[in-house]
Amino acid sequence: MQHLLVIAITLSVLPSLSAADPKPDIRLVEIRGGGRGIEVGGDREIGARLGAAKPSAKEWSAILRVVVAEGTSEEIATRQSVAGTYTADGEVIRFEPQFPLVPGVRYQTTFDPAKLPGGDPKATAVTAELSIPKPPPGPPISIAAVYPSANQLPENTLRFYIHFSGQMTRGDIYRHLKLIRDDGKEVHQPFLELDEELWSVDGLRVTVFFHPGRVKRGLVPREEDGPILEEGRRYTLHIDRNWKDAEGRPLTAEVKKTFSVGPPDDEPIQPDHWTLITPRARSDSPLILRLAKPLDQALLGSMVWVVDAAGKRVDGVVTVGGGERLVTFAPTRAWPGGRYRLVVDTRLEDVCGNRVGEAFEVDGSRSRQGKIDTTPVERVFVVK
Amino acid sequence: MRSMMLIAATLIASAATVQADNGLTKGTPDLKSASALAFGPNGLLFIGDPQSAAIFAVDTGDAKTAGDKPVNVERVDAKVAGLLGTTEKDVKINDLKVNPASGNIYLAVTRGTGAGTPAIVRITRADAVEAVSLKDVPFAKVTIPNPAMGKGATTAITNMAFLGDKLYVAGLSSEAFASTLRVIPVPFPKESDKGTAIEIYHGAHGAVETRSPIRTFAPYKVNGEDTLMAAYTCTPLVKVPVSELKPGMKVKGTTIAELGNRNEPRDMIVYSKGGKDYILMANSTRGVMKIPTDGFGSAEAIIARPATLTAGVKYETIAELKGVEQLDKLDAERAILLVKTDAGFDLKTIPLP
Repeated sequence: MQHLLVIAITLSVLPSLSAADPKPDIRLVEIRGGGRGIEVGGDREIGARLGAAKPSAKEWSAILRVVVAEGTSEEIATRQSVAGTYTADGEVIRFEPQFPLVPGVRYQTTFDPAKLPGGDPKATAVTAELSIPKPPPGPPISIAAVYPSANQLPENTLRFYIHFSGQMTRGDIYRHLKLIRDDGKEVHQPFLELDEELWSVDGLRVTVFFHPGRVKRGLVPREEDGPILEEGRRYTLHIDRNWKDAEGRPLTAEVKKTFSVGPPDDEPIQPDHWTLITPRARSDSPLILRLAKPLDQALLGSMVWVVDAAGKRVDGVVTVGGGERLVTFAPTRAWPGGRYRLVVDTRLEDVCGNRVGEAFEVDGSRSRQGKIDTTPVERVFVVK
Repeated sequence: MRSMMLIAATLIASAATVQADNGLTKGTPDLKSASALAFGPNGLLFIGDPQSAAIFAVDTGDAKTAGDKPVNVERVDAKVAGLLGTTEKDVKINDLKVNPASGNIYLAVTRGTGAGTPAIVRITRADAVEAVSLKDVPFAKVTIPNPAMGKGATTAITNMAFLGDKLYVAGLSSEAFASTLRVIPVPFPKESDKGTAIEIYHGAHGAVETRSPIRTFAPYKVNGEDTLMAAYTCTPLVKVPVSELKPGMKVKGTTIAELGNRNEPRDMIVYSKGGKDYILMANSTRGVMKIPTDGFGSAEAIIARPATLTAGVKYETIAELKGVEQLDKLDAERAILLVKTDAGFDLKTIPLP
């Protein structure tokens, strides 16, 4: 056990054993595979006694009880023990938690020698409070971007993406978002409040959908609660500074995005209407697409690509800018001259959820049954 | 002797990598999140992991009946937090399911801030709160690719149900606003499900249809035909025949009820009482609804905009049930509820209404 590194801890040993007994030492230790466990040492016979007795899980947690030390003493006394496994070896009992101990959380560990097999019923329990110091927090978090970035949005805009510079708290995000109309009136519950909260894999972006029942015309929610956005008016999305980051700190600043509202857009995306500015052969200039209207910033990054005459995908980087009306495709290597195809996945959406060849709302009299057509739309261009 | 031990060790090692008939292999699933649960036969637990865009099937080994005691746990969130070694504000219970093989209750939990880490917690019929160990368990994994979506896109797995030999998975993309439903054979196929998701359209108003995401669903036989009863935001109830759910197809669901505005359906179960079948559905603002199913087969499709707030199949609201976030059938006569209170969350057993 000497190879175990004893970690610096905050340790306060409460009532100790009688003066004649060696004082058990309760400490945090590094465990195999990373993380920290808790060890009690000081009694040469512990390992042998427990090894022979093979206590049950319940008996173990009576001998060495580890609980989160938050709240009143009564709450701590009745708290559920932390899940983990116990072992006894030589002079020590070790507790390895099933889930890593959380830096900054205090753990109360009580060793009760009276509960040991053949233990002295008069022996006094020893309690220590342990905690792993919290590492210093990183830089404070700010809002990096809000999409769509345009200053004018269609009345039936479907969603916002909010990008952060670091990890945020989850579980109560809608409380931090307000939509204020130009007359100062707050729009009542404009967003679809999903328990799931749509965070990206890296945790740096959250998607917020406008309430679709109030975006679509003629639906009860819109008639009852009114539309969210009305053509001709201005609105401001307020993102509250008190939205806490994962360290519990507020954002560096509140963010306000003000925009005016234009007519609704019920038109499918038509890649035929895009302007393609083609690069010269042997240059590494990007292919530039001028879109007919702003499209979804996130989907543009993955639903537009280029293949060569042989049908092989050209390596390159897609960049979206100009209020999501401009897309550049920069090849990794210079363009050999020849014919290429710009390929557009039909699941690409505009800011209102209209897809390539299909509006967000579709005519029910046309049959929706049958195979989903996943054939992408293509535009041929020549690099000379 | 030494060589015999070596042989024994080799045999054990190779046994661990051989797939059993049920398609499970012993190991430790690399679960990154747990948003939805479902049970198959013999304690087989399905865990929806949106962070890794995968579903895990785990043999819990919990297949013997655990008794018939009702389960009532006050402040279950605090107990779960204590068990997971953290504070109440840092745990979130995402789903609750009863293991029909044992009667024990399983919770999908997120521990920690930010993306957090997943935990599966079991509450036994003797009120013990246990962290389910996922170390060296028989398991299988299937990925649910979202090939054309961006690197940052996630598919929130909102609901899963096992029916026959298939797992039905409803998802919600963080980019496109669409109804994606996947049908995954069990045992899981060796190759991940490369099939396209199913798009379900339903009548919204007038002649217009929409592709909203399913919020919750339950399998039910309508006129002898396996059907998914699906509920959407604000709150149409739609029936979709299971036979039509084929990967890569567009399917038209039939809206048979409009259950009210300003509402998000959270969870639903099907049960029988007094020879009649009902759906019990928990909602964000409209309480718990009891919906008799006897009209489902003959219900007319709602295709015009309803003149009233609610329309179609009738239901009653169970007034005494408030703050119900999750529910499942505990047994033939009782339901288990996860109830939000002023202090936190409680688990409550109630007789099926």
